Amino acid sequence: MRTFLSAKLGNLAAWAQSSSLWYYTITGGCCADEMLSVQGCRYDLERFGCLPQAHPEQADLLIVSTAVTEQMAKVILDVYDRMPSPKYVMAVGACSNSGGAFNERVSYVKSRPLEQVIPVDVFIPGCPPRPEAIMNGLILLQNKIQERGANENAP
Amino acid sequence: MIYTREKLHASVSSLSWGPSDPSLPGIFRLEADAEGDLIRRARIETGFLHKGLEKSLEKRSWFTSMIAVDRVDPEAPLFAELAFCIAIEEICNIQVPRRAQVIRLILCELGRVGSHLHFLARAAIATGFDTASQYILRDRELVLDLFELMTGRRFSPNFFKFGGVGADITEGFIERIHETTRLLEIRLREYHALMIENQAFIDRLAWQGVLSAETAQSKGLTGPSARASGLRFDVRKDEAYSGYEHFDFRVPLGTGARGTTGDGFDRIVVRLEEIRESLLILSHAVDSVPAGDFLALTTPPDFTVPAGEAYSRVESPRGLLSCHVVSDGGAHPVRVQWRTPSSSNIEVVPEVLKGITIQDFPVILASFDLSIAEIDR
Amino acid sequence: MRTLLKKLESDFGQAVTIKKFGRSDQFVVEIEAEKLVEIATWLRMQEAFRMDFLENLSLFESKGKTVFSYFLRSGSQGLQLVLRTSLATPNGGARLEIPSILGVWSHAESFESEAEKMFGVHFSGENRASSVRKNFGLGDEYPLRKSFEWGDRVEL
Repeated sequence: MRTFLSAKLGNLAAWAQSSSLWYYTITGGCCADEMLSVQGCRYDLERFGCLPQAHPEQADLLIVSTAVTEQMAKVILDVYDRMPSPKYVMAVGACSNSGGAFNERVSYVKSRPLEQVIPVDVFIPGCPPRPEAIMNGLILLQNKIQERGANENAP
Repeated sequence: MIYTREKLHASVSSLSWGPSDPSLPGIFRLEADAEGDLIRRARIETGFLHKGLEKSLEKRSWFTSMIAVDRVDPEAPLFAELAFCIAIEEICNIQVPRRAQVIRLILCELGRVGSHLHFLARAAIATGFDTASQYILRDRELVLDLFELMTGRRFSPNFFKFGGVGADITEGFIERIHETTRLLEIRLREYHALMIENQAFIDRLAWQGVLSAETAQSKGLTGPSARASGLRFDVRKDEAYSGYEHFDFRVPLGTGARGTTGDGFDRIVVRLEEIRESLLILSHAVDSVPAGDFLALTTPPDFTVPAGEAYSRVESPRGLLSCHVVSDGGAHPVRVQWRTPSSSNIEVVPEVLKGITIQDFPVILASFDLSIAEIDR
Repeated sequence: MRTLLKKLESDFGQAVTIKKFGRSDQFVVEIEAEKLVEIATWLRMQEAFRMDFLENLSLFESKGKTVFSYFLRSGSQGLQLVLRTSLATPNGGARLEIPSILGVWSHAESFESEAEKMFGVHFSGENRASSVRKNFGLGDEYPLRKSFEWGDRVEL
């Protein structure tokens, strides 16, 4: 009985969390345009319950779309550490997925995949990805949270 | 001693915002010495978005260089592409057909409208006017739809080629431009009522962040922020390129209608008027596209530029954008140097922020339309 | 412009060499680095020139020399000119020394601070007063020098 209740409560918590992912963005410049479009009224991200936050301390989701160079890695890690758990990370754009247009073959700043800095939950490729792709990624994240249950993601 | 305000001089506290902070228009650090809530001295540290773009252009072949060029100014990529193409065409002595020049002009003016709308949306968000920002983003989507119709992409179009453009005018593009310009002209009147006639909006910007013409000139400011202070310099008029000499348009200057010349409000009004002028140019240009080729030559993958150098200037939405290309006849460029407007425009910001309250500095920063990616490259 | 440049030649003689800039109609005035501040001030102050706007300072390395190109323009007279000087590129981590033109154009700050970090140039003679600092995270290396390489060089 107890495991049944806790499983049901876990599902409820997972559903509640996935439906109200408040996010904090770290954008470099290229993907910032698409992030602004996706917050606009045509590709409204808020209908999924996502509200942009001004401080990492009040966010559940970190959206990173900048090139992960050594300097930016410090910034991203600092923001990630300030977020309370359970927290999720979405890597938007080719730069944070795999290095992108400024990877170590082409540029001395050696943009690395975001995975090497913080654990990532969803990858959204594109340069920049279309707003529909970002929304698709968000839905994938919501499904992932609901399948795994909210407690699994708390480190 | 009785503690009175005069005896106690308010201490100067050090505050710091960034690098990642929503009140800043990008990723950089702003440090301020504040007395109470007035900023007495401001310092800026940039360089977080440094991507080594200029060196990466020396590694790429000429054929693939557009990928990096697109990312010089991500919010208005076509201007960097145009500056690069004009410089290469000068070294190689390629004549761009008239039709291609007019197509480039149309897309650049469309890019200017899109970039200024983006600026207005960010300025509205900074002032807390979220309603206006949603309206503006709705209209910016119309511009992005037109880009997608013509080039296939919303951003980073990689559309201008050496000697012309990548494709001819798509069917239905000209009709859609007419529709969109008519709609945007109506919307501009709405924005005028929503923002320019709105006393709350005026109060946040008028008389704030005043930049005199002398300071603007001594710091080398260009673009709409300089024109709002009274400096009349527009590359499209002074050294017309790509067919601008055939079109009649006005270059708006700041008038200090609600406050004084060169305040934050003037910088917003000047850009709104520039959108109007760009819409006029667009509607004339699409009706007078000459017949002919859209591309003078097809660039092969092993394209090389003969030895030489060139320097091109374009008027980007933020100011004077110029490109210095040096080639020694090899497979890679020797040097591609970019003079981006925001790198010079940001030098004036610490000066302007003196005497601004902490509550107001995001608004004043947003009124300068800085692109941090452009500064750091 | 040719007639105006004759005045420059007559005042400075052998110190200036005037050529065409690439294929364009612009002129480039090549000088020695020691005369930089003197000629820049002359160009700024002369009635006929009044070059009050330093548009760009661009550096490039070619054949063992680092070439400095100062792109000047005059608002009142509608003129453009390129002022050019070259220095031998030093080996290793040594820095290039050239006089600063901050005293002539105060908006040279952003260009000089970037050249300092990217090419390792020391602009001597003027105090930096800018409140905008650039921190590219480069340490002691000067990335835009031709001698700078990293990892595997891949041809694209």
